[in-house]
Amino acid sequence: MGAKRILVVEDDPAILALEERLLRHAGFEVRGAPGSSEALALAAEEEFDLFVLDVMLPGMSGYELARALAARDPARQVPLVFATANQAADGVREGFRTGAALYLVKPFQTATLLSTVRAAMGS
Amino acid sequence: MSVVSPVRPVGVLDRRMTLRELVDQPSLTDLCMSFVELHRLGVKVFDEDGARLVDIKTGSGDFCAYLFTKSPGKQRCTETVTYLKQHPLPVVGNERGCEARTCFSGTRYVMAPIVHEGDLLGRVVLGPFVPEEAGDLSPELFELAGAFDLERVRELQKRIRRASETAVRRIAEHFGKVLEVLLFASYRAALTSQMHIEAISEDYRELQAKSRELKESYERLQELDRLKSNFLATVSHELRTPLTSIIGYSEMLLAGLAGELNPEQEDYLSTVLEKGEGLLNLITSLLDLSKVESQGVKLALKETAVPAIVRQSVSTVLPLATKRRIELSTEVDESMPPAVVDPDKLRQAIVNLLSNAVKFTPDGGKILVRSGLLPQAPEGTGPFGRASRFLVSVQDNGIGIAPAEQERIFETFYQVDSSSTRAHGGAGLGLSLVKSYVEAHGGKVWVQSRLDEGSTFTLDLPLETAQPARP
Amino acid sequence: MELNPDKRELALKFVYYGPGLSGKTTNLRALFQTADPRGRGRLMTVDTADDRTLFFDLLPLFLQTSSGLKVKLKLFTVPGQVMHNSTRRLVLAGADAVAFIADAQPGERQANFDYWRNLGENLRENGISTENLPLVIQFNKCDLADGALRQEIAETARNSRRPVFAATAIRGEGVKETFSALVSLTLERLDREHGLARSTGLDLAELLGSLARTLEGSRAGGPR
Repeated sequence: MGAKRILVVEDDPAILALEERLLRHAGFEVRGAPGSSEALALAAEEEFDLFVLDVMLPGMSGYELARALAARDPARQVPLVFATANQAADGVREGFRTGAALYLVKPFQTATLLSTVRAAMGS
Repeated sequence: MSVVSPVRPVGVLDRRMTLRELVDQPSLTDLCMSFVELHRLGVKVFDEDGARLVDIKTGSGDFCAYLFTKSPGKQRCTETVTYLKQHPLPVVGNERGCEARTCFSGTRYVMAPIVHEGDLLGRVVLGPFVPEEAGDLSPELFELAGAFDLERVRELQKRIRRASETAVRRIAEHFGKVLEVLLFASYRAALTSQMHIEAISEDYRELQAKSRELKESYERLQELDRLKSNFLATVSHELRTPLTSIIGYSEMLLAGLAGELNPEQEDYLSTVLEKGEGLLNLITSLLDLSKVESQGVKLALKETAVPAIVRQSVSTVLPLATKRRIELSTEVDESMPPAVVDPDKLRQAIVNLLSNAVKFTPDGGKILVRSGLLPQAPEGTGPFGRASRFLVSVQDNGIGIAPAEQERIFETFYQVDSSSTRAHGGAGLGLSLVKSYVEAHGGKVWVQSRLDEGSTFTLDLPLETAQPARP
Repeated sequence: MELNPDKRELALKFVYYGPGLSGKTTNLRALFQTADPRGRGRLMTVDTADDRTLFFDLLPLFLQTSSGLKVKLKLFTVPGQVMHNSTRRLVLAGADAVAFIADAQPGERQANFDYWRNLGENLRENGISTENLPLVIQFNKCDLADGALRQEIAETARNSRRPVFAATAIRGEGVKETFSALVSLTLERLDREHGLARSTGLDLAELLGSLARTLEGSRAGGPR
């Protein structure tokens, strides 16, 4: 079995680069997208084992993007991690009810990013 | 020039009242009746417009009725009545005069104006009476002799009182005065009762305006509060985004992901990371506090193993304590029963106390965390003799707190002195959050401390926090 | 002002305003006692057992001019107690002129000031412009004032654009002067703004003369 493939969607370029590098360094194969349309384009071409989605994306929200991604292939449930800088995480949890999802509150420690991602993929 | 306020109708003080409004008609009739009996004179009262309020006849009924049966009599009688009702009576201030009118039948009437506050409100008409000086029937009746049986007229006229005009004028004047006193009393009663009502509705109007103002300002405050919360949430979000990069890249560098660092670089970077985390804590506390202040603390109560919460809290601050060579030890009563609390809030309260302790304890110092049931507290003992409260305390051998400061340190933004902010970081939010969380559980927090010896912060919480009644 | 050209009647409303116990009712009583009974109505007082005005006092005066115009002057007082503010406001509604009765006793300065401000508020509430309102100020109870205050009253009188009178209403001193000045101001204003003399054929000087005679009334030999 090859490396797990992760799609990271994040509009802040510095955070996107940070997440990509940390995950890559941890041995994952990572694709980054700065917005929803790029993410959907990538997902149309490749299969992923996990989506890490920023909640506050310009235009389409992270939740809407998650629904759009899931709608492409309903049979296959790709695990989700939502990254959010909203500290009122209670409110965030109410934002997305369909499918299993974990939350990563920004700023996060590097160890937390990795443990959350691993937990989401069930490994 | 008067400008009547649009919200209020013309007040009773500024309104002219009519005779009908001022008198009680049955009482007026009674009064007139007693006059009729006393003087044997008919009394009529008309208002300003000539409408009749009272008409009492005595002796003249058949006489007038008979003359009224034939058309020449009917016509002249009507003329007399119209005159009595409408002939203008002069009123100058309080000066008034009576006027007399002789009917074609030879009988006579005296009219007296009813004056109130200088206004003519109506008139009293006394009569008919047969003038003292009158001889046989009036010449006019003789002219109409063909129409009437004069003998019959003579008989009927005898039933009418014979009086001097002077005497009747005096009676009319007197009656007018009595009536005016009556009107004054009625007017006074009407004004006062009406003023009473107007004053009450004026008070009511004022109160309504006031409560409307209060409601509006309350709504404005609520709106401001909502804006403040939104603003804080937005600011918090906007600050957290760049902090993600600051903390994340610092960690990545420290982890050697970009190559080995020399000790000096590592030291600098640790400072960046530490300050970044300090800033993050501050932002987190600010938003928590604003939430507490605007909504109160909302507890999510569940059965919780307190020792586990204490251990988790200790592990949170352990890295920082270790770095400062602070000895962090625990004395936890593992046998205590689970408590019904909000575990997140309890953890945060303990972490805040521990962070504080680490902050104010010199390198190489000692911190001791204890938890367990409250030993023997009569008022805190449950119905079956079981302990019902538990304590968590954090003891340090740091710089201590002066007695004068010990109460105030739990106030929002309070700092013992501003230099301590620079030396130890933080903005004085941690302890006020601890206080809010503990009090929401029905507990309390206090400090025992001596300068330069150290401080002990103690949380005293009920084993079972009652669910707050939500309205 | 209430002008009825058909009936040739003019009614004017005067309000005596001021702090509690400053002597508003005493002013009306003094006018009532000395006025010619033929030119005045009854004095209506609505007071409490302890002689405090409950709602108002009312004294109507009647004047007649050679041109046949009937002029009715209605004098009102307001209750001075703080709690009766709504009644004060109601009585003040539609006022053509105001006599502010201040208490010249030492120690009443704050009360005078408070009621002066209260007058302004209630005039505004009634939509009456204070700018052009005929208004005179009377310092009553001057017999009880100290020298400093008497000097201050004289000072105020010199500097005020409103006429200021010193009075001892209980002895009838300064009462007629206060009211005559107020009527004079009122008629001048109505004439200036509404052409009263032209529209009604009213001779202002004659009317003021008639007022003076009515106020002197009983001293001039009329029945008490």
